[in-house]
Amino acid sequence: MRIIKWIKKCPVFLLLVISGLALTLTGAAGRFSIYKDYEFDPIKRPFLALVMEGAGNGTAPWEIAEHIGMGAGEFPGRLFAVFQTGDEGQSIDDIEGKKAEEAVSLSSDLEEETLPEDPAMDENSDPEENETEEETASPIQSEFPDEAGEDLPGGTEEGKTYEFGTVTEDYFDDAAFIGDSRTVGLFEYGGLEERADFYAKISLTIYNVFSELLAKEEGTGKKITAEEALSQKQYGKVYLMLGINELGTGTTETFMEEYKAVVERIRELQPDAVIFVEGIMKVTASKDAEDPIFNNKNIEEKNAAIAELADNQTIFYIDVNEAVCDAEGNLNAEYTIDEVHLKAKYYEIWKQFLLEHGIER
Amino acid sequence: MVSFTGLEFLFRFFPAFLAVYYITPKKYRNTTLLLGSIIFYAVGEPYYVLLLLVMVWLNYFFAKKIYSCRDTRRGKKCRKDRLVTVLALDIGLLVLFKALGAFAGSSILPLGLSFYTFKMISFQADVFRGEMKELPTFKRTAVYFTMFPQIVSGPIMRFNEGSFLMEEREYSWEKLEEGLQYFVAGLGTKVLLADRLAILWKDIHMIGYESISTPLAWLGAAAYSMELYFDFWGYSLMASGICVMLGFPFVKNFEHPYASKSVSEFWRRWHMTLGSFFRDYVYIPLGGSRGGMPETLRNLLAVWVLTGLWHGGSLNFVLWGLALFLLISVEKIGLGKLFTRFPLIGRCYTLFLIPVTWVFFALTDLGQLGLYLERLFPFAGGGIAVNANDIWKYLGMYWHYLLVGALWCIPSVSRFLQKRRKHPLVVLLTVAVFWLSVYCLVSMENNPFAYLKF
Repeated sequence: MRIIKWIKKCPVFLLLVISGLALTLTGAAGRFSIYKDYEFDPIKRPFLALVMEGAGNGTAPWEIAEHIGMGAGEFPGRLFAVFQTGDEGQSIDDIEGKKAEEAVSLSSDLEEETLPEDPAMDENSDPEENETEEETASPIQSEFPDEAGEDLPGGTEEGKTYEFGTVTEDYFDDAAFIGDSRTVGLFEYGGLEERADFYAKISLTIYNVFSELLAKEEGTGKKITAEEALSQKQYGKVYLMLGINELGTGTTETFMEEYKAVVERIRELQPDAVIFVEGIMKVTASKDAEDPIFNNKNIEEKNAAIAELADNQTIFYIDVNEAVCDAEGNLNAEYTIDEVHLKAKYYEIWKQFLLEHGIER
Repeated sequence: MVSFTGLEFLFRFFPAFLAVYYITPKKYRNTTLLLGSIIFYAVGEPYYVLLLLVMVWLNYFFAKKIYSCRDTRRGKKCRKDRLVTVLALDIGLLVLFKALGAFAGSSILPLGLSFYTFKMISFQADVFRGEMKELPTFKRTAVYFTMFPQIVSGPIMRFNEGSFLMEEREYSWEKLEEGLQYFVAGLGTKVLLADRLAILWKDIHMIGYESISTPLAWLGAAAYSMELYFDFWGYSLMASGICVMLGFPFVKNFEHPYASKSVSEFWRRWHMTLGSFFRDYVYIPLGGSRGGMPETLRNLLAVWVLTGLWHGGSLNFVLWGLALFLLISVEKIGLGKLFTRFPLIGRCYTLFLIPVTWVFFALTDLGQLGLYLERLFPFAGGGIAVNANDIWKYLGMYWHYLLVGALWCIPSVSRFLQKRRKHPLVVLLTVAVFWLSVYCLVSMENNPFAYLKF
């Protein structure tokens, strides 16, 4: 009875202490199993931070129940001893056998998760779309007889190349823009929203550009992906600027693999369109100096790789940094508050740059 | 560690301190609190902790001197001289650092300087006025000046409020629970509301003020007003909650200010410990409102110029203080009577003007301030590359925080919860708010990209 009275006196306190201890134990026990992919220094952060981090990535704390004992070999000795005593009667062999098994399943899980949705893409390229490709490919053939139907990037055929020229705003009447928050800004403040279509979303990456629901279907208003939108409407130009959000993940090679796949897919869906691959807009000098990930060295590396995709026949590389950067090649500090995005009134510079870099065939 | 919303404080320093504090026999708990507070401060300010200790010692030294000439023949003059000396020292230090901060950036300011010097000033004045029954011991005085729940941002508790004589302090499981609930309420207010609304305010800043639509400018002002309130109220709740958990009384710093019927009332309900400090140690000593309207206004002006300067050295804070002086003076002269008769007018007037004063408070760059005001009141046209639909985007992104925030400003909502704080649902809500806040803190600390997406 006295205990119940005591519980009634301070239920929040007791609940927080108990849940706090439970989360700490979960974090400590799962450190080398369900949370093994997280960087963690127990001196700097409490164990329950791991549980929170895991929860943020979709790993529920109770998943630890299936993993108790896993990763025995990876424990750096002492700490594990504490938890090992909890594994009643389980021999090390058992543990290691289980570990190997689960490590495999985990890594395959991981692959599935991190690899781009190739299968989905294959599914989508059904015969119907191939037909439309053939249909629309014919006018190209008649106009440019030397271009043999397929003008996928990397094609080695000798084709006619084009130079940039200045165009007027109606150039954007049949343009589509794909991109992250910078392109969202161009949509909101560039004054092109009446003319061009924008398939842009904050934090969009090359990996989810075709899976995010970021467009509205004309007529029904249903939310659709950029891929669906591009298969429903034909454009004369497609502008693509992606890459800053993924600076922290993967290498330039993995990034470019996906980037090429996206460009090829756009080419499939939009056989007539001029594709503008845009260099990633840089950041300011002070951001560049302090940020280990979002800096201009990383951006330049990606941009150099993106530029190689250009064939100057149907795919063109344009780099707005020419217009918005200072003499040192950093984003002009005057043009931005947060060192990454242009202030609204400076999107005009980007638009002018695009107008000076039109391709007319 | 010095931030109550840091994981180190929440899961290391505070639980450890609390355990040690309660294991310590009652007689020695002040010692534990003093040592804990010095460790807490030293982690945040490894060098300025020496300044703090020197100031504590000097202030106690002078307080003793002031106290000791209480019964002498020339007592009054003697006390006055000594008071003036020590006040010159305390205020001088504050002014010196504020001036340095205005030139070299506010990072040069010692942690909590504005708050602990104000405690020292009030302590000396109270000793001078004979409000202490006896001179407290050095240890109790030092605990009062340095106690970690209050040293970073107040509340500016008075010595007499604190029952520093330990026989008066009350310990129980119920008090621990009550304090913890205040603490969690404050944590949730800060992390789940203030920190979210801060992102909206940042977003607007990013666009550039010349390009925001007038509705968005007002939304921004409203969001900033809420953010500032939830940030500081949340912090104060956490600080006072800790104090209650340690056996001290709850010090109230906010009393639902946005439900006020006039600007004067707002400022009696906002940062109350600062307001009462200026009332008791500036306004009333200058004569208060006893000397007729011109003198009253002069005294008010002094209070508001000082309040402005206390918040920051740049010109916008002076303008902000002057604006409040004007608004409060107008109410004092006659407008206030109208508001007592028609409270609804008063409420609307307050809710309309306070956010505008906060814009003065927020924007230290006068050019930016001008741009923002132009967008709030677009009589002269203006605006470059404005997107008239921007308001819908941000309402769509933040409506739930704004809605919960607006509800949380209504006095009866929190009174309702406070009355039923032992109800099982409220208990569960408290626990949920705590872990949700921790979740948000971890994802912000660990994954800045989640909140800094491009």
